[in-house]
Amino acid sequence: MLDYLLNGLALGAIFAFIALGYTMVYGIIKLINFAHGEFFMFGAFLGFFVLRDLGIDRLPLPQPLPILLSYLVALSAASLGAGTLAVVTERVAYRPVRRASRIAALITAVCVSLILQNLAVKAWGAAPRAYPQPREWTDVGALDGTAEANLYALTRFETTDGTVTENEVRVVAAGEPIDDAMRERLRAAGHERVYRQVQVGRGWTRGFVLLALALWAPVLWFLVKRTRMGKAMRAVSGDTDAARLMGIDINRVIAWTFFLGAFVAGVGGVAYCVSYGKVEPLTGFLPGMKAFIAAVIGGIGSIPGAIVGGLVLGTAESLIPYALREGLGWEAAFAWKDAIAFALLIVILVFKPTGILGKAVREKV
Amino acid sequence: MKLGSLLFGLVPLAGCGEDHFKVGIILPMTGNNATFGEESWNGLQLALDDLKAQGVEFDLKLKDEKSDPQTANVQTKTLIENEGVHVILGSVASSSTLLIMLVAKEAGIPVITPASTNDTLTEKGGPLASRICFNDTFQGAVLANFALNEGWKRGVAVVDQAQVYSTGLAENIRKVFEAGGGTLAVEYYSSGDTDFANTIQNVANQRPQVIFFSGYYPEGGVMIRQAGDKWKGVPLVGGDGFDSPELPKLVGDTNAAIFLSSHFAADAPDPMVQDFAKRYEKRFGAPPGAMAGLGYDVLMVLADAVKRCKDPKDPEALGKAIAATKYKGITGLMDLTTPDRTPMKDAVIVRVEGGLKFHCVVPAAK
Repeated sequence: MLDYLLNGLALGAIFAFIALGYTMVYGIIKLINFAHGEFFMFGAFLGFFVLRDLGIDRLPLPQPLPILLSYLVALSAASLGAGTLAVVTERVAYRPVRRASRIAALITAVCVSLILQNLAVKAWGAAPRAYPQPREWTDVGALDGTAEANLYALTRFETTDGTVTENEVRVVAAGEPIDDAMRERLRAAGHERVYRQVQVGRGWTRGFVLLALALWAPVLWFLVKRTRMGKAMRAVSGDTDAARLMGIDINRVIAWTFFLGAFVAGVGGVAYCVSYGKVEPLTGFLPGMKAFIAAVIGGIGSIPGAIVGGLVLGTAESLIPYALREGLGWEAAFAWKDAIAFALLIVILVFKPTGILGKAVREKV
Repeated sequence: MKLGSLLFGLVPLAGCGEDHFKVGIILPMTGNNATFGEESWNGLQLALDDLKAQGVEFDLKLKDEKSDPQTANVQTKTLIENEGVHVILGSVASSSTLLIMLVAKEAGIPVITPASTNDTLTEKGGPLASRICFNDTFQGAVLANFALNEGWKRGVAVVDQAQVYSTGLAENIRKVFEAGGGTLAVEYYSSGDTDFANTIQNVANQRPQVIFFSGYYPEGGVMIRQAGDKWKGVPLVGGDGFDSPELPKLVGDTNAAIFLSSHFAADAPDPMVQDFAKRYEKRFGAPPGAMAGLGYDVLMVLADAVKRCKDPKDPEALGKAIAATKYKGITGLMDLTTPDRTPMKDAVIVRVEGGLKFHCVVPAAK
């Protein structure tokens, strides 16, 4: 039971991370930004390249500093990159249709989402790729005793077609004794340094996601409620035209909102891919959809609502099938988790159309 | 159109008139199962080069089905109606191949699938549909017997409810496994899922001695990685849907014993396999997986049938020639003269250990 609850909360926290961006953008310009899942995916890919290619984890520093550093850089690159992409997208695609009808903006958002997905397919290929596991590098000279885990090294490989790939080879199996002969053999093969793969346990990623959400939520609350920019955001949300007449730079406020939302999504993207082990151009699609639902359940436009909605959706997806299975003996309950989650959405919207924390606002006709 | 393809310098086949022989290829080049498409296509290209060296040229038209049966359906129509292909080779996932075969059956075009193992495919596809791989009745028995021989009696099958390959294979595993004294529980997931925490927990709660995977590598690999210590010490057994160079990467560093049944192993001792594996690795930079072997063989089988056929442009005649195939390729003997044009072939058991490592051969049932 506790396991299922924690699984649900961790998944819900990810939904909440993405839902924050949906809800903030909707709160300001009433646009459902379907491309938000793609910002998430873009962040995840940037993190992927930082972790795989920059080789920060190879720095000769005492462990676990290089690993922590590589993740810090990956998270920063992901969040800043996703934020920048969001600002560019807003400038190029959304600003021109801001004054057009809501439906035009919505269709633009769907198109942007598809365009970004397909650009990602073109650029990085559509195949799912394994997200890099943290590598703990050590000098061959520093090895002794018996190997506790499998040790790996990277070798370059050039094909007759001229493409160069980097292959991971296992050089020492777990339990093998490491003596001078072994060290000699490794050096002879050109491996000055080798690494072992560090398992990222469920506990760690869960902890990270929940902690990041717990830290980020107050920061966001502070930004929106206590800063000048936050005040401007709330003003634009209340009445765009009046805000402009008061001398608020609308474009800047909206760009800033997009940036903040995508910044969070970038962090979520890396966390999601680290915990689930793969990344692909469609990575953002389903979590994006679910996060949108979470935002609606919580009350779209409301920041605490996004968090509550995400956690409720994640927990429901996990606990309701569990209850059905244990209580009613329905073996296939988990196969129906998505249907159950969507049914929940309908039930909530029937009884509370504005979502759990949403306020009823009268439409100006 | 005709002039266009003539300009590309395609040499007519012996006894085939002046037009080119067009081969439609449908593979998952992108999407979830992209390594299947990539490897098969690499294998096909090697085969094309080898055939060229023998003076035989084919006009290959590759279409991407994006790991999606509906796209496979559309691409089949495109190939038949717009490209006018004479035969279709594809695809890998059984759900996609089923639609290809049904569309091609309507149009009366022969189809050979290199790698789809679902039992009923060639029956539903009609007399012009055939395959060069074993089916899941055989594969299910291979997997179940492998587990029983190791003394594993209490099993859980992890099944992708959205894939006909997966549900069919699991059913075949169950038949043999329970007949042999084992008990099998089933847990479901859907392709495209990424969060398997609850599935993993459900499996662990059953305290299995062996876990069967009948799905594909993207979900399976990720699931094993996510499971970590939860499944500590439990051996995992997968089908040919696990045979991908991406699998060991997705699984990551693990001490779990992972086995899979497949059509071909690059490090099998057979000299023919060794020669192929060497050439493949030299060209593409990685050892070939089973799909590469099947991709190579499927074009060789087709070339063999075309050679024996008086008029390969006549679908009926070509279908008959394919159904009369008895060919030895790198993935084994392919005798398509069986009632459902499915060969009885040896399977190999492969162990996942850093990469895919040959474990043993399971001879074809007679």
